[in-house]
Amino acid sequence: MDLNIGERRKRVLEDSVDVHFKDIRKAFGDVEVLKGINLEIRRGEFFSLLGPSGCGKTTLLRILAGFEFADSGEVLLRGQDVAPLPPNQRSVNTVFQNYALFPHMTVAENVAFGLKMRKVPATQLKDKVRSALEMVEIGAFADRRPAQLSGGQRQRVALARAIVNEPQVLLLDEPLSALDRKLRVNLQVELMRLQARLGLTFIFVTHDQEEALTMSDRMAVMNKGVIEQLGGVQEMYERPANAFVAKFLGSSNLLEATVTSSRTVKTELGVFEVSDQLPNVGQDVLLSIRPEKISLSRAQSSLANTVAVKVTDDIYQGATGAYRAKTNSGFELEINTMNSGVTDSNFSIDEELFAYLPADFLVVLQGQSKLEKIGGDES
Amino acid sequence: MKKPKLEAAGGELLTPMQLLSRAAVTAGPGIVWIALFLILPMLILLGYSFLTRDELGNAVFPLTVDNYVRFAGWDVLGYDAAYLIIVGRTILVSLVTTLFCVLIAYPLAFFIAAHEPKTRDRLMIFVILPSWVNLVIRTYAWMIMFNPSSPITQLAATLGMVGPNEGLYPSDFAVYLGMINVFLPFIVLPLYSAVERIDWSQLEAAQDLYATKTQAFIQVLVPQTLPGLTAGIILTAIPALGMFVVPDLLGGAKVALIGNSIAQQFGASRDYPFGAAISFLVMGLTLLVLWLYARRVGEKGMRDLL
Repeated sequence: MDLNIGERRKRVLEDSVDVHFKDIRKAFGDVEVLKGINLEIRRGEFFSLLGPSGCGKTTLLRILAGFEFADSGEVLLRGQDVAPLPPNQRSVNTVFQNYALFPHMTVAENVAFGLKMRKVPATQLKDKVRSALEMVEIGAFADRRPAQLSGGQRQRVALARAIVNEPQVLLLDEPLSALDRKLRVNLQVELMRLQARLGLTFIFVTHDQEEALTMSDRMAVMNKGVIEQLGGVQEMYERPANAFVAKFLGSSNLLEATVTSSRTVKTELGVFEVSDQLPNVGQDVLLSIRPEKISLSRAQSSLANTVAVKVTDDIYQGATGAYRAKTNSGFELEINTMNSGVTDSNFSIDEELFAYLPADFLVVLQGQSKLEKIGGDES
Repeated sequence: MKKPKLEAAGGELLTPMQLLSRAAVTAGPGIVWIALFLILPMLILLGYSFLTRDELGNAVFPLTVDNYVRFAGWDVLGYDAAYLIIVGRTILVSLVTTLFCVLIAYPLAFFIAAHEPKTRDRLMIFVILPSWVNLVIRTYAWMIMFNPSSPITQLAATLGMVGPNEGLYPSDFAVYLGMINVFLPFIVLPLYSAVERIDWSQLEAAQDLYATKTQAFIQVLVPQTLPGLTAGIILTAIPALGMFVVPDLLGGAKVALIGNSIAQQFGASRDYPFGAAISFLVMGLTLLVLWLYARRVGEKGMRDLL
């Protein structure tokens, strides 16, 4: 069964939980890297742990694999506490960031390693290794050594070496980060296909938001040892819970506002209508709007939520255009346009335009009502 | 004017003459050095081994293979395998020394590689440091430590390991200790550089693939140390064959090894031709072993080793 990538998202997942993290805490010396993680990962889902480096995502993965131990909390794998099990007795397999292939073994020997350790009979072993190699399309390289392969091919070997064991959960620790962009995109698609075909639970660790958005069914955005938001990818992109997620997952314009009625807020850009649920009148809120939800036009519009702006930066990106535009009050908006040729999208610096911020796309963020500098996450 | 053919070298285009002159400047000194100080002396020595010793101890004509025949055991007095026995004993001493060195070096290399890079360098200095001291001086130091009045010997005497008023040297024990002391760095260095290069995440990968820690060590780490281990064994076993200072001093000149025999021919016996013949036979033996090894591992394996 070869699922089309679009259909993949529509498949119905079982309700059973494969991995359950219960209040996981972990500190290295004085540094708390995990501050009480609660997370359930469903059977057969493609789950991503997304976050900047040092957010604790890899540590969480290593706790599940058995290479680190949580200071407190419980990890259940299909309902069973894994704490007493050493790594070699857990039915999870890992695809390591640097692949960690065995350099003295051929590709086939690398892939056969796990089966050999579990004393799979030689005849079965051969078939399994061959079909795993074919599944990741490196059957032709079976007798080569890892040193004779390219980065992408090594990645495939690492993948084959893990899936050949038919684990309950496959852990992938930034497996694509060492590859160039084109190859990465190809492998993303292949990984999704593979995951859908095998029906395996994938836990994918990455710092690349695009990768996580493309591949996952659900994801958790982590920062400084806590989960900032957990949910389906679309939901998280469209309705980020807080400023960190809004900024880390794609980019966002953040606006400070004060609630003036159940449908309106007052900002330094003027009064805006907001469709989202607003708190009581008089309270401060932080609003987020994605750059591509804002539209620019030369003609003055009678619509509400329109502000006069002056273009300060235009970056031609081929398919898209990225603009920065300042309002009269000096607030700079980030705006992305599609280079479709249908709508006006060719603006130049210093041009005076009107920006429309639709009420439906102004999202009220939780957790904070004032802007603060978020350092080091705009990658 | 005809344009000379240009060749690319190091990003420059050169005429063949220029190329040749550069090669002469860079590789020339090395070639001259090797020819003058390695190949020429060897040829002289080879020539000596076919000469005859006269009554005064000079090497004279006629050319003969008597020296080699004598080594094999046939002498004017009849057959005596004395030299072959010495060779056998030498090989045994060399192998035992190598074995002990490996047993010590293997855990030591892993121990050092397990430290922070800074600490590793310091620990490696401790391994290398003893070899900065002259071999003879080091050997005399062992003699002092092992003489009957030293605290170490007296401790051994109280434990009943040696009789009263006896030293720990001369003895086989002292010889082996001295030999191990000399050769340990030669095996630790290549072994350590092999261990240091290992990507330790492979150990986790192996455990992730259902291997126990022991299995991971034996199946994943050990094979990757083999090139370093082989290099170390060769660097130890071969020079150990020719070692004569340590067995001579710490063995009390009682037990002859091949190195001592050669030294004796060139020294006390003044029999240069016979000494030269033994030297060449030992060298031939060594090359034979290396050749057998090279045939087994192939050209690539040898290149890795070197």
